[in-house]
Amino acid sequence: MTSIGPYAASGVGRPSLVDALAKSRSQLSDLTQQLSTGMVSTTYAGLGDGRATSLAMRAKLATLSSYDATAATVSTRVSLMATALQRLDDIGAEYKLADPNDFTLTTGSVTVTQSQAAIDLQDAISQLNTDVGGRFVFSGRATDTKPVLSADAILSDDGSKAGLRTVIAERKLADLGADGRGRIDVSAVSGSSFTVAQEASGPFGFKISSLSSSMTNGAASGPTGSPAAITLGLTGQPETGDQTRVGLTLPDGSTEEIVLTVKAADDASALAEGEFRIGATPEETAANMRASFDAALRTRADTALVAASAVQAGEDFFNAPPGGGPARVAGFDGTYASDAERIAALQNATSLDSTDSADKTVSWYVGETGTDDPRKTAAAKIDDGVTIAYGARANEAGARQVVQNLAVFSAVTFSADDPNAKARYSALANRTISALGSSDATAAVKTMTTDLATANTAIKAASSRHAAAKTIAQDAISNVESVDKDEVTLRILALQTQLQASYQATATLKDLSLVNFL
Amino acid sequence: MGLSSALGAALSGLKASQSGLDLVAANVANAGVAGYTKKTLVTEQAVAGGVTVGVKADDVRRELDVYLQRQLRTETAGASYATTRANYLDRLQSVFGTPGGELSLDSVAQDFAGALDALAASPDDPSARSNVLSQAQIFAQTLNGASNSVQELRGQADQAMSAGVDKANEALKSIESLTTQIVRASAQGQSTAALEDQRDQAIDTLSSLMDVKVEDLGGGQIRVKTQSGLSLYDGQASTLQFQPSSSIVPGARYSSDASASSLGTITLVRPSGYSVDLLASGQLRSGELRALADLRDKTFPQAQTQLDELASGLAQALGSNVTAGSAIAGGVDLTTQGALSGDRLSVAYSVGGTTRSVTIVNVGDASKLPLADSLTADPNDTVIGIDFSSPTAVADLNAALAARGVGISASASADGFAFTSNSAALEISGGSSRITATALSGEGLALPVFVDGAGGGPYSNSLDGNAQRTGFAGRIAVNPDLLGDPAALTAYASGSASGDDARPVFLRDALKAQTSFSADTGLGGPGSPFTGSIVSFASGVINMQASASAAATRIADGQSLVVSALTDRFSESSGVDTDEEMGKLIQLQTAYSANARVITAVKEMLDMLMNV
Repeated sequence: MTSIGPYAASGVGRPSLVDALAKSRSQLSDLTQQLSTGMVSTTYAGLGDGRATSLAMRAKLATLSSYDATAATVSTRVSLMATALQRLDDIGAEYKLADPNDFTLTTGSVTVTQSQAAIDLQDAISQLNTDVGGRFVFSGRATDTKPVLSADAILSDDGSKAGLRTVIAERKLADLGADGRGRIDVSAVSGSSFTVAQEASGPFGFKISSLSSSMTNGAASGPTGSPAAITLGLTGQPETGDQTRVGLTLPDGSTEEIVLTVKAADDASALAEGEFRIGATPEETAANMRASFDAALRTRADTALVAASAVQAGEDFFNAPPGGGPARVAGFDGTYASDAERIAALQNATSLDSTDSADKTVSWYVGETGTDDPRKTAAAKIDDGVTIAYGARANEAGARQVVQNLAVFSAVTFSADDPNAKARYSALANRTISALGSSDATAAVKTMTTDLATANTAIKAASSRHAAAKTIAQDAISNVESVDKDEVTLRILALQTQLQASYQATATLKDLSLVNFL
Repeated sequence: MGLSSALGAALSGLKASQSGLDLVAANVANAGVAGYTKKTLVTEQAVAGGVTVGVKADDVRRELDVYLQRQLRTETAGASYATTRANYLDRLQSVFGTPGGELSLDSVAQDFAGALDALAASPDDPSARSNVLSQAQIFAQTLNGASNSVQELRGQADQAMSAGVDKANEALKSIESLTTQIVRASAQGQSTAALEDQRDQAIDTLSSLMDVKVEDLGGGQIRVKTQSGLSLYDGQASTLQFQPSSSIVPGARYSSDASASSLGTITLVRPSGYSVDLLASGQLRSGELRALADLRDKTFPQAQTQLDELASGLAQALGSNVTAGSAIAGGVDLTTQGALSGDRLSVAYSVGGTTRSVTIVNVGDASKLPLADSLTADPNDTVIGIDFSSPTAVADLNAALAARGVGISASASADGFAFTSNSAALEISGGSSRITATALSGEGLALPVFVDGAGGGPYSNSLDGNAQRTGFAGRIAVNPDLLGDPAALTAYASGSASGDDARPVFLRDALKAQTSFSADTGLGGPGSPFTGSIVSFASGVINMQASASAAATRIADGQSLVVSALTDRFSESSGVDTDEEMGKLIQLQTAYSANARVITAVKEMLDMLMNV
């Protein structure tokens, strides 16, 4: 009512009557609109006091939907990661039952178990290279990078970069030394004794760890000094069956024991490892003893030490510190006139070197590295104040151990002509089996799986919370925004009746003019 | 007394009936005409020599209750104000959003937040990145659109003011010419009822535009004044002048100081040449023109400020790095590296157990100094403006600190300013610098997602010149460099991993962080500013506009009810009642035939005389 309209003192022209009818009509059209849209109003102003609820609940719904979308994305990733880790765990478990003494060579100079390991290695690598919608989930933050090289690329050299096979071979040279005694010097017998001394070989070769003797007239002292040395010998003739035990520590931390056993002079049976006969004089017996020790040492070097060397080389190769290169035998990057010179240098190496090794060594893991918690490399906020961390790196202990052990196991080759081949294989297989089946490796994979399972549980819990909250929010919105169709229909009917009556009255009023009766 | 006198009386009766019939006809015919008031014929007996010789039609009277009319006019001005306001506010609130509307401000803000959530979950996903960018564009375009709509409404209000002024001038002119005629007719003893009806209608028109009151000076002369007492018509009509703007931009402001105003004002010019600014002097208190002026100069600019603050908060939350200062002995060292105009340092300190802070803003425009403390939302904050790059910056800063009574002294440090306490009683607890990032990478986690204008200038909420925030909602755009390099949404430094979620998480959290919004948006008060996330601010703005619109509609409905009731009562006394007119018609008819009968009788009597 913005202007002063025509005045009509009575009858249908009365402004308030016109107004009232117009109002009823517009109310009717409002109600019709409500009925057809199902909404109280198409504007926030029309919602009345409920608009605050509507706005807040809409914001709540949007947030919940966003959380749910994130949870759905992450849930897929976590499930696939869990599947991959489960497979890694299964692969490791298969080797618990492998027989380390089943030395059946196939055409590739490897055993049947080794060729199975080569296939399992590829399987493990492909699990770690799992991508979910183009995202490599075991790559830390570098999710666009396939984290692990192929088995072949890990084992072989790549131009100037050394592969695992080369690294194992180098370490073997350093551990065995030039004379194949595992960097141990065995002196000649002087009088009736001889010394066994470690070379100053740094981390390489055997380390003498213990000496115990129950030998009659035995002279056993040490280990003393640094590098450690022991003296073995006799002050008189020993008695048959007497033993002296020399404990050796191998590069991978395992121990070997050479047991020297006295055998009677007239015992014609073949000498087993460590056995020696009593000679005519104590000096002669001592010489027998030395020869027996020396032979045993060489055998152990060619079997257990080589296996341990390969395992340790694998440890160094695979477990490079974040951002650095793997530890290699010092002299790996020297310039040599001939291969013989290189071999000699490596055989006499006394330390590990990781300077520049990153550039000269194949890096099996090319994803993101870091010292922080790998889980933290991917995080998702799935609820207010709930952030789940589900990142992973393929070079985490559990996953690495599986790849490392399979790679080392499948990298070493054997020759049927080599008399020590079976024992060496057995030493390697034992180490691989125990490492893959050890509770350590399993636990490390299990830790990753557990972390992911926790994330999944958090997602599920959040999802069910969200479902409940969504229902509440939707109810609140519909309470505010939606109309009760029954109620609106009833109101329309009531209004219709009212309008009809009004119109009827107006029509009567119109007829009730004196004009009509004159 | 003879037959001829009877004949004369009958003839005068016929004439009076005739006039009465004329009026009945006129009343019935004009029953539907706006402003027409019921006319009645005043008759009186014609007396000659003490003897009644007939009847004469004395005057045509308007049936009018002047007190009711006055009240009706006042209420009409109020209703007109309320209705105009309600109409515009209804349109304004739909600019901000509708329930479930795809392009409501809160929806686009939520969609953008959702896109950032998705990016934080999949930083390496190109589709997540492009989704963030397209949602950012929708957000920017929605703000642009809303800003344009607000300015368009402002322009319409401006145009409507111009039209209203024309209408008022027309009404004033009519009043002038009608009054002249009325005075003349009245002097000549003619009926002025019809002219007065027309004049009243002109006044009614005027009263819906502005609040007026009418003084009757007698003899048909009137004086029209505003309710505040400023005369609009006093013998001669004054003219209202208004200069409409061809286009209105957010920066255009009305100021009561004419030299500072970039929008037109309504000026009253008297025929004497005296002029007065009706808006500045507050003489216009109600009516459509006041409503339009309020909308144009207060309501819409505030709506624009809300949009600008939203855009500003958005750009700054995502695009500026807050770096904590490094502690030094007895104080804090704050960096100013790469500071743009508008970037600020903040030092928190406690003195006498009260925690206070001082904010130092980089201001290049010396004319803006000194700054008011109300610039920041915190009431315990002292605000100082200096030019960081000035060679005398340290001296200026120390002078300002001393002038404001803050016991802290500043000195230049390697990459900014070092602040130390002057006394043991004042302990500096920390500080931070907020610096706007300009590059896509290498400047920390902040990313200039939104820039000022299509040219891509950084937005740093500069106070220089025509403050950068003004109209920013209309200019905000997604950084064109970012559109060309979506990978920068995650790559915050060279060599950062593709799956590194540090930046998406920063952006996501920045959007949801609780920030204080300026009190000039009308949300919250100066002491307790609106604090919340960008999304909740958008919701808050919608809620405020919707409730303002609902309230305005309620008021308008109430006011129109009052006017309707008054009109009813006015109609009762001044409106044409056809039944009544018909009744009169019968009376007149009867009177006419009675008079005619008298004439016939006289004739017969005369005939009888002739035949004697």
